[in-house]
Amino acid sequence: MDNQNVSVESREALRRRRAKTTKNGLYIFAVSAVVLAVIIVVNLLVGLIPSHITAFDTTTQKYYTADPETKQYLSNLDQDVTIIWVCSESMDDPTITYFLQEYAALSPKISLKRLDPVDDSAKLKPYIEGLDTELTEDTCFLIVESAYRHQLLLLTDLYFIQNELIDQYYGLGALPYTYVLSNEQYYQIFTYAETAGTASRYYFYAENVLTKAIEYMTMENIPEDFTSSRAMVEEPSLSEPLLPHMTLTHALIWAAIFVILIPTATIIIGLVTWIKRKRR
Amino acid sequence: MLAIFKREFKSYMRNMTGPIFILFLLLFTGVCATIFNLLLQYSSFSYTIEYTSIAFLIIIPIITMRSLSEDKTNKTDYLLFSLPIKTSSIVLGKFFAIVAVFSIPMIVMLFYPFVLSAYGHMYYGAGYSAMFALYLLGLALIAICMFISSFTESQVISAVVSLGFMVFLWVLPFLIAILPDSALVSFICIIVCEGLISLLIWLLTKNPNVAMIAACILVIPTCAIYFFKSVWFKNLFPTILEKLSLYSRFSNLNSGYFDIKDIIYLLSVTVFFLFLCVQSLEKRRLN
Repeated sequence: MDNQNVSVESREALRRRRAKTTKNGLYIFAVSAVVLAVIIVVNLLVGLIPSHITAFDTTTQKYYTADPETKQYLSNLDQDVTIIWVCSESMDDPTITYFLQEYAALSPKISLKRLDPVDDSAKLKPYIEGLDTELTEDTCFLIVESAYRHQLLLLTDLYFIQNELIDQYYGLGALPYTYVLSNEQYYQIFTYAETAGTASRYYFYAENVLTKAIEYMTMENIPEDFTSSRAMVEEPSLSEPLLPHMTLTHALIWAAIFVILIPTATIIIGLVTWIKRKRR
Repeated sequence: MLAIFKREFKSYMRNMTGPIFILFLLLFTGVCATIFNLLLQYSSFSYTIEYTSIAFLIIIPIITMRSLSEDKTNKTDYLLFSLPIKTSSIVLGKFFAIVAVFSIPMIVMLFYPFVLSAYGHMYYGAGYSAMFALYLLGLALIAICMFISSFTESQVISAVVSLGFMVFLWVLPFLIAILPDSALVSFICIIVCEGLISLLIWLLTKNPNVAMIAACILVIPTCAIYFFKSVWFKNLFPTILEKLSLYSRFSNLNSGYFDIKDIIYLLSVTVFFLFLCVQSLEKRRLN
């Protein structure tokens, strides 16, 4: 009888313990889920703020910021221009989004649109008609459109790729379908040499390309010898010295300090502290 | 919290874990600075910072492995629980002690662009914003590894699991690029994630019935949505991973495009995992 009572009691204790574990576990899970939900909501709300308000251009050359000349040009823009950013969510480039939002904020005449290369392929068909290009998930390009014509800008047009090793520039807008006009005329504004090799440095070059494209799109008649009337951001040049006073001797001295002296000093300090402690 | 911070910080600096952590981070930064800034003569410190972030994969699991698991092994956690201090203070004290050790090499790094500026024009804005991004990435990774450490008594298991998770986080942007965008793949991945959440509930509650109910609540609506609107799942999982990827956010900040959204995200991850650490200790205290 006593044994039976003990068994019933221990079963009851076990049941209570399990109930307590379940209760505690559910409480912890629920609280964590609530905190996670709050964090997600905060991030989503912050995500709704336009990038040109939340983001800063920390590059010395201000790659992602329109220069005063562009700002003035855009504020005087009298034609409606639509910039369509064709890119899937997975291929999104936040720097381009930020840059486009900055353009839209500078002129009420500029409107932005976002299309998916696959889901909106029917809408995009008129723009790529006659071109040797396929719309896939990886396709990313810009369409600058006005009442007169439209133009396609490939992602490669917006980046200036520099190869330091062979001292030559990579192609920019070298692809034959870079510029397409609705009246079937074809102009290639930019000519760059295309060379083989491994690119080592990238420059965000969208301001030159995009501002020129807007200027080009808003002209009613394009002269045969069209060149942009505006001075643009200078192309990054390889002749520009990076660290001109750095000689090999100085480089070796600093390499020894960075790689040997500073780490060794750290470990010596650590060892001294450790030995002192051991002696005590 | 201050007492725990002092105790932990002294402990890190006395048992050589701290100096070794500082040594490796400075050594890695030194090698990267030598390659990019001294030999290739780049004016920006961002390249150095980008490659220095790879060192985190190894050094952060090493410094965090003993943070919470050691107390579990030595049974000093019961002593800590008996003290009139909150669990959050214990976690924060330990977290800030690791952050203090982590801050030492970061402070040393601040001088590198200054030194290099004597030889030409350094891009301070991009360099220092990259360092700040690296610091925030480090805080998030420390919080994640501390959470992993709270699960186990063994420091080795903690370090190995943390290392695996760090590598996963690092390769995530590459995985996203190769992940198929089909709705079926996203659906399967989401179902697997929901299965893992149910497993977590089972581990927390030790009650299979509750875990089964949670699995049904999560899986049935997902299947129903997929059945009626499978188009919603197209590219959904890669997009979610892209938004969650810590290294993608770090790369954005490191590219000279400094967005507060990315900073808030990295801080959110830090806060969330510290909160999970507190809950992990609370669970032990309650049971």
